[in-house]
Amino acid sequence: MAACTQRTGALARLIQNVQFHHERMFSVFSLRLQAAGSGDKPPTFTPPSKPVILDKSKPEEAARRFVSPEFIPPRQRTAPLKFFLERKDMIQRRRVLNIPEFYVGSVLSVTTSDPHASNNTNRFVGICIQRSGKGLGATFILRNIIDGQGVEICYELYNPRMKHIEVLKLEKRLDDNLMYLRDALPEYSTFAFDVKPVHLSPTQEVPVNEMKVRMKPRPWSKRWERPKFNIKGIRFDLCLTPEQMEHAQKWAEPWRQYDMLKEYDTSTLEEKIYQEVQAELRK
Amino acid sequence: MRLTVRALISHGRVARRIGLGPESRINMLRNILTGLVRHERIETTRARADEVRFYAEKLIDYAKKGDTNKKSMEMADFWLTEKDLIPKLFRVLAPRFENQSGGYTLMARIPNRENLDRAAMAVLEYKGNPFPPLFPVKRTHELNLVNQLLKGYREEKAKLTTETRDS
Amino acid sequence: MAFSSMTLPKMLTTHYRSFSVSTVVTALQKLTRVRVVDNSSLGNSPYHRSPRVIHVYTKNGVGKVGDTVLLAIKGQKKKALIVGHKMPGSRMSPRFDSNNVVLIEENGNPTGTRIKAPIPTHLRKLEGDYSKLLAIAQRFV
Repeated sequence: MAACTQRTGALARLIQNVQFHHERMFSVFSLRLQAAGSGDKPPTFTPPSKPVILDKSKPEEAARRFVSPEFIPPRQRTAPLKFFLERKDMIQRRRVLNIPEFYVGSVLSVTTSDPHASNNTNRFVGICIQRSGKGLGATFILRNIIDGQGVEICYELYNPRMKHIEVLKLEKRLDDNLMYLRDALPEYSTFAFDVKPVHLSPTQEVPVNEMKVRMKPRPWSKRWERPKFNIKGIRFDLCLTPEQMEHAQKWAEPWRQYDMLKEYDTSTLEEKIYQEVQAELRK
Repeated sequence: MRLTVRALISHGRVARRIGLGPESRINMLRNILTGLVRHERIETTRARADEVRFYAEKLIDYAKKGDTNKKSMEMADFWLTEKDLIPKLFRVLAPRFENQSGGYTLMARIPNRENLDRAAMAVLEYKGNPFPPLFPVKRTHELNLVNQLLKGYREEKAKLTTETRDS
Repeated sequence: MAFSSMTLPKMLTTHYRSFSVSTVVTALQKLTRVRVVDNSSLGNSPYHRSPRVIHVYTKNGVGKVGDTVLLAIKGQKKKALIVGHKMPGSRMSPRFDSNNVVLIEENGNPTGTRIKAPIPTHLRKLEGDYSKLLAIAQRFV
């Protein structure tokens, strides 16, 4: 009702306004007014054109820009032609298979064709704990705990066996690599197979889940407290003493962040590749 | 890129191993770079000069972003061990190379060290420094016979072209 | 293996090597401690020594999914089938957090009546020999 009154109000304002741009609508309305004024012949019903309501209160938000990390070539001496050709093939594949935007920490459901499974498809749900590889060989690892047994599957993004990738929950975590979930309590990597996907509008920022996990007792598969992993998503205060945390700093390399030789700034490269990929996909 | 056999099989590791380890390497380069910023022309062994050259150019690139930039201020703070040089970097060196992108330094080989170990030496400098130039500037001798002939030829040619245009 | 399957597709049709020709990497080998995932009484009753592999029936001494091993379990010798290991296998195949085995008799029939952990689907390649074992599996991934 409120929307209806709003709409009529807007229409009235439109009629009053001389310099508005819906010319067609204005002409229809003026015709109707003339017909009502003349009186002798019965006015034929002319349906009013649908008013277009533009929400001008909010500024137009740009959709998220996302370049899949496997498009960025690694820093090495390989001829750029190799990566250019691989990009072409990747775009070819992306035209057929919808590879959505996802990050480490997102919950995905992947359907693959599997000759040994029942009706030749196999579905797996899990949290993405790592994305690795560049170009056509890019992979990601899904982890889940099924019947108390931790299972990880390393999927190749551009493998022809991939049938469908669906993002059930799009979010990021505090770290870029969640391999420590192998040593965390099982509740942090347990995901039900039959959950509905949570929709996130394409203009919204991807939320960061600031969850910190509790770990199984040590020893762990790696010494996650060491500075080279730079892990923020573990409750170290529950499993390590302050002395141990301080001892781990022995392996810190504080000069490393100032070593300009180790910097790899991909921002311009990313922009170029984004434009190239978008232009190719639009064709 | 250094075109050596070592570079070919280095698998992308571009840093030389100098000093007593990675930390010592960075500290050594810091000291050399501080000296370079202070004196604008220094003399070191060739490998060190070549190694510090990259950092010297990158530091200028950072300094060009201005002293309000947080990252560039941190970089200047780390790389210049003598803190009185930080204003010099932002006020003197960054404006000097404002119209230039890359190639801020110049390296020249000099004879091996005589007294100590006969190490290969080099001179590294920031361009546009107030010292006399490293390489002798080509002086143009106006009264040289060839130059005189060339001058006459040019004048004659200019005269001819103006005559043809007029007619 | 990866080399032959990627670059020489002709090899796949003519000949398939079931063992790795690359350098030996450890999956299950002698003295590996394993987890028994069926419900047989032998594998589930507590004992002070965890079951461990004392022989692997392969040419290179490394057991992967689908290989048979000999276990020392509760002071007895018992054959078992590997149904999952910690070492990552090929892409698109599951990797488990523990080294799982299922106890089998000499003729290939399972000792227990139920398998508690998920089983990789590519184990179905062995359908002929271990069909009874695959029949009692609860879940495949």
